[in-house]
Amino acid sequence: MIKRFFHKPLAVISLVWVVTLLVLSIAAPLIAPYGPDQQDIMHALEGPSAAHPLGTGVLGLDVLSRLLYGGRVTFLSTAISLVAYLSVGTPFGLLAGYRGGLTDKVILRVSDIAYAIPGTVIVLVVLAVRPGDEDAAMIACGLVSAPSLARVVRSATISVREELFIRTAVVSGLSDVHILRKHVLPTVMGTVIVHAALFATAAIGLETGLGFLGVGTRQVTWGQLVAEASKNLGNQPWLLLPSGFIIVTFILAFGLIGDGLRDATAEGYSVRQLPVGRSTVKDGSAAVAATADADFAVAEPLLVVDGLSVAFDIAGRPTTVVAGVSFSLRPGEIVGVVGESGSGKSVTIAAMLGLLKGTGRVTSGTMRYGDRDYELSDVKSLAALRGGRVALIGQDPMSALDPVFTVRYQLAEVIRTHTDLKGAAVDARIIELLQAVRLPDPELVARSYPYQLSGGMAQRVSIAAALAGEPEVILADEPTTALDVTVQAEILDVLRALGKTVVLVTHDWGVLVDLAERAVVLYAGQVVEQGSIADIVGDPKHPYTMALLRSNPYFAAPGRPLPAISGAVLPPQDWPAGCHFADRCPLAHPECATAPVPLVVTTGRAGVTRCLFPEDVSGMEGVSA
Amino acid sequence: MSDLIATATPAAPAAPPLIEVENLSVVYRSKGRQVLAVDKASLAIARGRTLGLVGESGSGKSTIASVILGLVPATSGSVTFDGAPLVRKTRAQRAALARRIQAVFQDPFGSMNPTRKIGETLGEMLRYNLQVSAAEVAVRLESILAEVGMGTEVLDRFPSQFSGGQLQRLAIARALVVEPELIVCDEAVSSLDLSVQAQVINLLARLTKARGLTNLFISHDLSVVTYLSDEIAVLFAGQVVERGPAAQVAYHPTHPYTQALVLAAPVPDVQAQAERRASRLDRGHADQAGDAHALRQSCPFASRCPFIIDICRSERPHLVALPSGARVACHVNAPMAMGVMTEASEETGDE
Amino acid sequence: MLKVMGRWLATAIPIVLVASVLTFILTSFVPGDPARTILGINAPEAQVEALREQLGLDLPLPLQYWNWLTGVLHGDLGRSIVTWGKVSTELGSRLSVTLSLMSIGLVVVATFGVSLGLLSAIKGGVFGKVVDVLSLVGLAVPGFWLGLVLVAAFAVAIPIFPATGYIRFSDSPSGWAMSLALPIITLALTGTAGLAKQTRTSVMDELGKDYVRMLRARGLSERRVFLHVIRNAGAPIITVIGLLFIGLVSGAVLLETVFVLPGLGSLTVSAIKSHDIPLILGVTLVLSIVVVTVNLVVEICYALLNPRVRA
Repeated sequence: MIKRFFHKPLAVISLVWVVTLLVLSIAAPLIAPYGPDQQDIMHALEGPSAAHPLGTGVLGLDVLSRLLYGGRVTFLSTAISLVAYLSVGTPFGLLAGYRGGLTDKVILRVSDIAYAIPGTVIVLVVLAVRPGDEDAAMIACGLVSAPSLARVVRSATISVREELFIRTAVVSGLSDVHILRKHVLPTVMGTVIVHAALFATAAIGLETGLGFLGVGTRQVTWGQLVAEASKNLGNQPWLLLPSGFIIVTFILAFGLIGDGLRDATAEGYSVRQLPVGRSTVKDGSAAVAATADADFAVAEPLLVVDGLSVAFDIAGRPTTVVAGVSFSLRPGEIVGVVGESGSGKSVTIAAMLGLLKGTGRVTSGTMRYGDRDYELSDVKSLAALRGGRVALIGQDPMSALDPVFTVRYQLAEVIRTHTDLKGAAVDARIIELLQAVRLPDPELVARSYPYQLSGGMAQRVSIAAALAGEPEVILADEPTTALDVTVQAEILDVLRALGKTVVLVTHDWGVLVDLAERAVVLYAGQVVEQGSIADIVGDPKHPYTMALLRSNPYFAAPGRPLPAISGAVLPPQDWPAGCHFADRCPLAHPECATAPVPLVVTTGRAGVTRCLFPEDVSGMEGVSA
Repeated sequence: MSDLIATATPAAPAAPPLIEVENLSVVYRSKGRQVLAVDKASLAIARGRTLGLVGESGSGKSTIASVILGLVPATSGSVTFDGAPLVRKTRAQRAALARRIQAVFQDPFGSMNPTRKIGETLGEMLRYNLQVSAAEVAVRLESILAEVGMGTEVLDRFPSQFSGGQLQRLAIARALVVEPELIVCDEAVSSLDLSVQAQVINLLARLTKARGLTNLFISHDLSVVTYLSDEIAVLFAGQVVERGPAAQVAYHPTHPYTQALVLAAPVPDVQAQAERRASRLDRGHADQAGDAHALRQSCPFASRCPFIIDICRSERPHLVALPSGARVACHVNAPMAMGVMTEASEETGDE
Repeated sequence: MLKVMGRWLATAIPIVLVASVLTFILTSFVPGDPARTILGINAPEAQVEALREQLGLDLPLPLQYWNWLTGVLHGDLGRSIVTWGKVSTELGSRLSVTLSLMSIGLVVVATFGVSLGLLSAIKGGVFGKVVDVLSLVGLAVPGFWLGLVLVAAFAVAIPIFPATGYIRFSDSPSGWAMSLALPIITLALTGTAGLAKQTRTSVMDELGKDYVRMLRARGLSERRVFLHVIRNAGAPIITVIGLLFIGLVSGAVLLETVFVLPGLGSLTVSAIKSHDIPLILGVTLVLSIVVVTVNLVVEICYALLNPRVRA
């Protein structure tokens, strides 16, 4: 972590500055040209000169020397208040968050009370009790701020406590102290550091402020120098600068060190060390795929996606995650796009609506819809299709709805956007839509907020919202993955009964078989096989499809190992030039790896496969782990 | 498919169960309301056997696991492990039990502390609970890693450097390195991709068998449970509605809820799925999703059951042992009169 | 909404009470004898003793607190031991100065902070840079020093504004505005960035959420999408505004001293310096009531924004 900290120039410069100031302050008696109270009446209130590099204050006190001595107070005060802040705030926060229950309630109440009294006032009262005792004041400052740290640590701890690794540690019989020290504390450390740095900046501000008010220590401080300047604004405004510069840069340095520490801590474990890359973007495969796929165009398609490629920045490098995907839809049919995570299935349909997340962008590909051609990289023109012609249903029904508006409001705005309905007609349409998705009590649902709905109900509402713009095509991205099987079956029934053209994205072959008529199988960003469901499930012509179906426990004999596929899907940055499945394929030949494999038309049926040896697939031997 | 029934596991062995849950109830307090998560559930697993626990989300299957693992207190009922009561243990007693009972959870990324190296996570329990020497820990880690098909170079890496499948192998290694007798797998393969899931299922099956482990395997995926389990228990609204030999429950379900579950689970076989869908739609359904947990006095499935009769609304059915070897709680498909007397008639005595 | 108010009252009253107990105990340690302070160093001991009895200073501490509390409930906060004026009168005249300074400051900061945050979230670029630079200023530059720099620049070097002092609104509205201008500019420069940053973070967080993507997928205009985002991003922004206000209360101590404004802050400083305990107790009480009231307003805003809080 220390190493990574030193890779952050701003943080390093800040650290150097703070350390320099620290050394200079400690060494003040040795290096300061004058004593802190040494007067030079002849040169009072002067600007910088050879004798006084930073000028002089009242009575000719040397500003440079006083700054050096003043640093001692500030360092000590900051350290004292930080210790008080951290040693009270952190343990109580951990305790409240980890224990919960009564402990939590008591600690929360105490922090509520501490919140209600302005901290500065308490610090000032302490100074009234112990005049001039700045150490006591700074301890008080740390203590009154500690509750806010405790609260932050508490909520961080609560979210960590819910993590499975804490459950695992508890199940392993490890002690609470061990779990707090080794599991919770390191995870909340980043939060603590950020707040400690913020607090330190505030504490320095307060300490100098006390000096300015003249209620702090009798020793010289930076704040006193500001106070002195304030009394001489008229005749020597220069005095504001040296003290101000020191205070500002000192606070700034603390803030920047805090940022650096936080980033360095987080990077320590979250950076995924990428294997040194082989080639990244393969243009060839996309081109080949596009040409070969043209041979497999369905008759009179409603919508054609042609040669879609999408890139994301992964670890700062543009990386292709969808490479030349093409498929078409007949009016009214349900096509399944099936694949594992990382296959590019969700990215594909997001690209069709110009809704790629993060750094994602379409690098090539067109879409023909109706009698118009769309560049898939032209997000603006795709946006015009959204809702009214092509609608989307998402995976997580709960997060698909805005939590703070009612169902009625959210449906009404879609209806108003895409139709001419007004007033009562909108309300009638809302009820009609909710009935269409077979919600038993549409009136009640319309009045509800999303949090009042079950997952199944929310997904029905989400489908109703997709239907509200009266689209022709519905893109359903894992619409039942988050639901229980009995609810899933009902949602699939609803989708089947819509009579719309549907693209169903799924990883579940059972769902695919239940709903879709045709399937597009994706593997590692490419279409590997296309055809009717009966053909693909009954007689796959790509080794991946075959191996995946065989490894499904549904087909397995109890007591015999599943014929699993070895290895894992390669991450996009490691995709080879040749067949993406070659490293896991039991049929792989040397030539599979040399050049991009084109899609070929499957003999004897309407379909394509991206395999050089499709005839060998039927007799393929299973591979076991 | 039907020939599988012939190979169905014979009647449960006479050995006493390693873990036995009896009339377990768990009440949660959530925002001032009491939620009955587990409602007088009973199940038992004989040493060396695997029990699959299925049910939808909120059915209480994870809560049962949490009680066994000491994460959640039981409100009433008993849990017995190797003849000794398991609930209401002190922290020290739990720590001693941790050696014998271990768990693998669903999310491989969540179950490893991201800030700690794999070696620290895997060796943690040996070192801090069992006080095993560092040298001995190294030896045992190497051997368990070999068993899950990984090398010792993984010990110095952080969880973020692994895929989900690899992490789940490591989670299994972490659970098994202390050589437990009972392992609780809570949706342990559910978040994995299909092609990787099969590898992890094979690994679990192999290690369970080789080590004679007793396995409580919780999943919502009926086909995975059927493949891995000797017996299956079906949970609905916190109650066990059916339990019996795996093939019997999966291929010849008796309880209307189990039937609904089987028919609703889609399968990657065009013919079979068409049949499932047809019989599901044939049955019809009363999908007034009432709050099953609120209906104490009736059958919990009454509001969704297509075969409902009067008694279902007024009286809760008890598990009845049927000649098929399954125990089913249903007034319609398993009335008392059909019950066979077994020594386990205490099943019905949950008053 | 009534539920929210009820919940708040149930916690706010005990909080204010406990806070006052704590301050009472703390001030009991303040050195010096108030009776002696009032009567002067040369007063005979018997007279001091009599006054001490009259003020109830000879009673045990819990009883003293009880007397103070019953007084407070009758609107009597005692008398200053320095000026012998009524604490309530003193506070009343000062509160209006501080509240006008803080509320105008808050409006300015909120307006600039939220709009700058929104602009930088949506447009990024230049606005983002402005926010970043301003937030460094807000973090590192202590308000009292910045105030002095502004005075040196715009009151002394280029005399546009009065350097210090306060003119009452009733005396001269324009003079009042001029006398508050520099303090408010100081507040704006130090407070705006934090709010802008929070606004940007909240809005960006919301923009990245699934429902926003779904709103767009349903073909809603960006304007409508933005409406959803604003309402959802509101809660954390309001929290920060609440915290800012409470921060201003603490900051008033220094700021009012710099600009010599007769508000609660400068009153606190002089009360502390002269060990005027009744005045200290009064100030603390008023400030903690201000803080819990701000929290109430924040809670009400939450409830207005989020149906789950209302439920």
